[in-house]
Amino acid sequence: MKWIDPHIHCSARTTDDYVKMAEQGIVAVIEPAFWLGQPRTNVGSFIDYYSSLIGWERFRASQYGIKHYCTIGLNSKEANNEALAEEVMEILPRFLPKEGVVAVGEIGYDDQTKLEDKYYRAQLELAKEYDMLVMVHTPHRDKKKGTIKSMEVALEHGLDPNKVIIDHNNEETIQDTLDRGFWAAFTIYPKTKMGNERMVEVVKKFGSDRIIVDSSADWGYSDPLAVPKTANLMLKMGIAEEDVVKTCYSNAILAYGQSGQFNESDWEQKTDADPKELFEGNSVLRGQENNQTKTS
Amino acid sequence: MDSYLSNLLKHLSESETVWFNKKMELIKAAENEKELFFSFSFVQRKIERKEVVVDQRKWFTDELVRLFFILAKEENDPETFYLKFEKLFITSDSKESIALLKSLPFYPYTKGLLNKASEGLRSNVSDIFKAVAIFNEFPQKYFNEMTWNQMILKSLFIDSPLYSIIGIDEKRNLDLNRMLCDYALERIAASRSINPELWRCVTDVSDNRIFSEWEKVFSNGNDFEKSAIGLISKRSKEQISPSYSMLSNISHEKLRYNTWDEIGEALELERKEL
Ligand SMILES: [Zn+2]
Repeated sequence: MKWIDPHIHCSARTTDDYVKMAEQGIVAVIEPAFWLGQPRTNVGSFIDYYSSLIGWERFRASQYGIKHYCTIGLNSKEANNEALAEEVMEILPRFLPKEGVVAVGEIGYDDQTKLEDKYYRAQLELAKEYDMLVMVHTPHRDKKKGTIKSMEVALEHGLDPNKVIIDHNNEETIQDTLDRGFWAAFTIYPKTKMGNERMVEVVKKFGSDRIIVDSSADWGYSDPLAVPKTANLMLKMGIAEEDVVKTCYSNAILAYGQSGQFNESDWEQKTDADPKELFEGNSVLRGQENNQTKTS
Repeated sequence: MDSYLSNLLKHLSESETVWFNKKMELIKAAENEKELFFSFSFVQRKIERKEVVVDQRKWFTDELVRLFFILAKEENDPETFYLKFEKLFITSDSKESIALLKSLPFYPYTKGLLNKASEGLRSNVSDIFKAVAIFNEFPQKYFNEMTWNQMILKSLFIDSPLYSIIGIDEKRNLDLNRMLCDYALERIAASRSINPELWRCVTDVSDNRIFSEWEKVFSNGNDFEKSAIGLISKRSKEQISPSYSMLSNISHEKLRYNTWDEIGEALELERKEL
């Protein structure tokens, strides 16, 4: 079966991960711009990071037959460096209209500071100006209040909740998210927060409408196979295939497809994975066989 | 540029033409570069990608639209133009980088873009490399011998065709000759085949291992290889080696390809079909 991981930080992952993801049926991924663990100290670092999301990382994923998309935004943690945040806001419009950029994101609150609020709001305005979707990162601490605030602020700025994906939901926030008409994304973390089994219970209780499963795998302890694993567990636990497909594949297309940049036909057609595109000595595959035939 | 514009317009739909003309006006009239930056990227949403062939070169509609956007506002000062290019280049995605580099020969000022062109050659994405290397007048005009030679060698490494490099014969040089012979010898030592286009730039050979290779491929090789040896034999004796006799016995009637361009073109076609 085919799956989509609509939130994964591929730049932090190895090529082995790509191989396994493709083997497990992941056909498309969305990589939201986030922070790198190490705070950036100048705007050039942001430019290069955004460029790698629309360039090199997309190319790297294509080598494994995976379609790579991204979101562009200033993350909440680094919004706290005001001088730098101002410079980043200047360059964001240069990246938002690029091919394969499906949303402004991931943006929102971390410590829920004044500066986080300022740049969250500024980027909501940008999303409106460019008629774009928004991917919201909800805070890990003081989660419920932060999640509700993220949504209230988005509504206050006149955003259509159907065009906003609220990520990192849990059992405590999902009702509020669905009630307000937003998309509710769930991040499956190994051991902490949402685990695979809990996700099965969520779908049993809340159904599959507007619910999206992702891995948010990054440079920390996380699992790039969280989506296919959760999907398989749901199937094993007796959840209808239709609901599994919706939460682990087609809802992502409904939500992000609104951007016009995320179409099933992109990966249904033959991908650009072409081993001949590689350079001897410089290739990512380094002589491995291309994986594409196995996944299609 | 007129033939480019008329060719492009033939391939745009009515609504695309309206958008294109409107944006051209806006960019021309704009006080800052915001409109250019936005439109340059927005091309991917507004212009459907279609192939356009002008002067035997393959372009896409989106690439030509981007080129006209860059040229929309006339710049009277090279530095202003270079800065504009730099800003577009550092935030470009692959398709945009390709369009920017492919367009090098059409800019009002080009000399100062030497570093950008060399950066394109260093790319790991072969289409970005090709945007500089093939069907582009820039390398012949501005690359020094070292950069030129690296470009030729890398073309062979990644199976990018030599025949489509403008100036491929005019810019032959002794150092390139040596690099290519060394590379050929490496391949011979490893019992690997040699791209017959390589010999196009080799004019001075004294190593017997290369002569034996020629003999071998002339009797057992494919049509590309045989034809390549045939073309070498047509060169003057001094250019090969005065003492080398095998080449004088070659009968040219039996050879399938009669020019280097024919060999290169046929090879490229075969690679695409594989
Ligand atoms: Zn994330």
